[in-house]
Amino acid sequence: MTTSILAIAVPKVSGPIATLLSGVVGLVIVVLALVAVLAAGWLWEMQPRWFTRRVARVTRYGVVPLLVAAAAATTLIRLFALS
Amino acid sequence: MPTVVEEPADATPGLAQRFGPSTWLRAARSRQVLGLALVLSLLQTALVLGDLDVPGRTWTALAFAFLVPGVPVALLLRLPSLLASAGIAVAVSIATQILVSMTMLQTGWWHPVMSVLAPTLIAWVVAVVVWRRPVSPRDELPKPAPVTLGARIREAGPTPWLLVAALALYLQAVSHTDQDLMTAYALISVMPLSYVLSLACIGAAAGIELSQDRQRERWLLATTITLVIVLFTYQNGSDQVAGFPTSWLHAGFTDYIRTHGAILPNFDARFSWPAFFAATANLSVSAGIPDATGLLRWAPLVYNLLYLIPLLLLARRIGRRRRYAWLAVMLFFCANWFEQDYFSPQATNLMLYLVLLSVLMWLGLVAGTPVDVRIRDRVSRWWHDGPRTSARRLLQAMVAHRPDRAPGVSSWQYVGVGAVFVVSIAASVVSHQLTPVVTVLALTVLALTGRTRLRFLWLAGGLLFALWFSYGATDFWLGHLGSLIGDVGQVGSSIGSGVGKRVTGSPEHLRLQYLRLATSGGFLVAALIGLLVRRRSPWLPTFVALSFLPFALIAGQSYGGEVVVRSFLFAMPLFAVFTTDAIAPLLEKLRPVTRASIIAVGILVVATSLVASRGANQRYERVTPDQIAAVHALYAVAPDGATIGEFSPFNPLHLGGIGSYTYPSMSDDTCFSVDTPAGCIASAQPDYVYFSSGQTFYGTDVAGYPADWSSRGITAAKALGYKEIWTSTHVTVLASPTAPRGATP
Repeated sequence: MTTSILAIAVPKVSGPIATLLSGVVGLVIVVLALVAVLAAGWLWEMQPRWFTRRVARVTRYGVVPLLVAAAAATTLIRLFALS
Repeated sequence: MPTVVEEPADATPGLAQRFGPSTWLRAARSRQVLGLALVLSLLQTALVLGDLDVPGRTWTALAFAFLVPGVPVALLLRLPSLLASAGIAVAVSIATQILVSMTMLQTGWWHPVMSVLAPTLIAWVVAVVVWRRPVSPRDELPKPAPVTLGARIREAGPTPWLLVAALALYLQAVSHTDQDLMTAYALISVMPLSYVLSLACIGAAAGIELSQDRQRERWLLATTITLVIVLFTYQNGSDQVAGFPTSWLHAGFTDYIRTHGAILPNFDARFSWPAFFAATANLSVSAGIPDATGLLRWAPLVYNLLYLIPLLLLARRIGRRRRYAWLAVMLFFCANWFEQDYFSPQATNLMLYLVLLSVLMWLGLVAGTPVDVRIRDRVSRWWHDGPRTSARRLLQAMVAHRPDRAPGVSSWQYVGVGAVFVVSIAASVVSHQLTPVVTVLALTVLALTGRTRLRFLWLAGGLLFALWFSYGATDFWLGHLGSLIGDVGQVGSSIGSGVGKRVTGSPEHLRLQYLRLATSGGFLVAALIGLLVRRRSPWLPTFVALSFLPFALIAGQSYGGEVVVRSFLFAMPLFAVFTTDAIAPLLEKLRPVTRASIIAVGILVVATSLVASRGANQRYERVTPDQIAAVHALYAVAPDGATIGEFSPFNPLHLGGIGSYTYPSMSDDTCFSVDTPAGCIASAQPDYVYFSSGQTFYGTDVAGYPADWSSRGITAAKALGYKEIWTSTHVTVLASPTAPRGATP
């Protein structure tokens, strides 16, 4: 059996946005997402005084998922643009 | 809410018992350990800066690589477990070496001395903080009562004598093993009786110690170390040089980086994850040896001794009965036929993975978690609520849950452990293709099942992997991502190439391959029974997921057929623990003498079978001194750009000359056949052809060629005008009429 059970095809992505995101801008986004995740991990464990329920909610449901999704998207765009 | 952490059956309540007996790193002795680490860092720095040629420098370099700056960092974290601290010390040191070397490689600022100076600097900065911390009176160790030597010997019983006998018999076996006499049954065909007796002594020692009412940790440790020495030094120790040609290839990669301070682009996929080779290039400089080949021979011993630390922590925490943790560790070693502990990135990364997994499991298991009650409730109501509802509620309960802190571990310590593992994952991401994937999967399981407070780690690991893969490992995928992704989901193909294509060859070789399959299959079945025994454990979903997640690699990889072996390797630590859980209830019912006998015989049987299964390929994976000498002689005369024909990769040709030569295959189906063994030589006309015993035996044992195929190939090549420029017992090198030659045997 050699047929893939997923049969993924690599789409070709091009254009100015793809070029922008597959370069340094994309790298910065991924690094920012990483920093956000590490900071969130630190905050969650240390619970400083200013880390209120509201800040926690914004972090958990706003900043971190947004940056991680952006990082995932830019990574995929880079892979597809340069493949 | 009551705490329902599953306690080991023989544990007594109390903090010290929950963490194990080893709280001595909290004690004043930690300053002595710190002092030793600092002295080691200064000593190694002096040796490197002065380029001093002193005996034992290789060992001090290795000790430095595994302990600095990890020991000061582990002491700073001050975790209430010796094993967790030791594991973290080693993991931090390895990760630091890797990341420092990788930084130098990426920036093009290649100065091997920095790989000693940077860890030393980190160690001293951390040590200042540790040293300034006050030592409280409760940290002082009680003075042990004086015991005379005679009393110690009487108390020790037969175990030390059995271990001394095992080592003596082992040395006798090593000196009486002649690998030139191997038959198609490979290593076990030359294994002398004294080796079996050595294993019997170790089995007897293990049986005696594991049947004691009160376990004696030091003798169990001594027994396990002896077992590791006997099992993992036999292949290389009974021969003159290290075997396994891939390890020589890795030494070649290392030397290329050491010489050029850079990787060779678009040469090999492994150069897209070059950190291990960069780190070992620096290690060879630190050790004062001319190249990395000096590190190959004892690599399996070193790696397996390192694995002992996280394996014991894992077995003690996961296993149902603490008293059988040592048995689980011994079973892991007896099942480790995979031969992935040679000088390689995967062997180093396995250590990082095991430390991460064991420490997180330890932290999760010692912390009482209310979610356990809900999980038990859901599992017990499975039939009442229906599987879908129960599964949904179970998952909701687990995902929403965040476990308590482990007793004695503060927020800062959790943050410290998290930071250590981010560094460890970063090192893994730049040094190996496969391990970070398993690590992220394991972290995801722990987060989803609510078993770790460090729930951000899986996301951080995933981002680090994405970062390196998309921006660092571009050589690997640039321009052909489609073909790489095409492998994803090809489960049948992976299993076919991982299992089907390996179970082939002569009848003797086939039997050995079946033994390998039976070993892994046996442990798989026993682990499933063990999981059945643990079916009431609230940790069951986590245990099942962690045990079987490595097999997800088979579906989602572009790694080739070897991924099946790797999956089993990642799963085997947990399989060994659950195998012990399966047999422990049976052992408990026996009288101590019967139990000791059964354990002794069991270890003897599985350890002896390991020699057969692990050494199954030894005939063609063996490397000999004359083969290496022939390679050096060949490279002395072959000009850059020369072509060197080889029949299979089972030779040490790649220990040097990386990027200078090309190695066309002389066994391509289009031109090679058993009747025309020199067919490819005639068509490709390489400048040189390298015939070695490894290639010959690969042909006869695996490819099904007749015994004389190699000699007929040499004769046919000579008929084409090729001349011998080197001939010795295990190798013949031929040169084409137009190639420059001049080497002499």
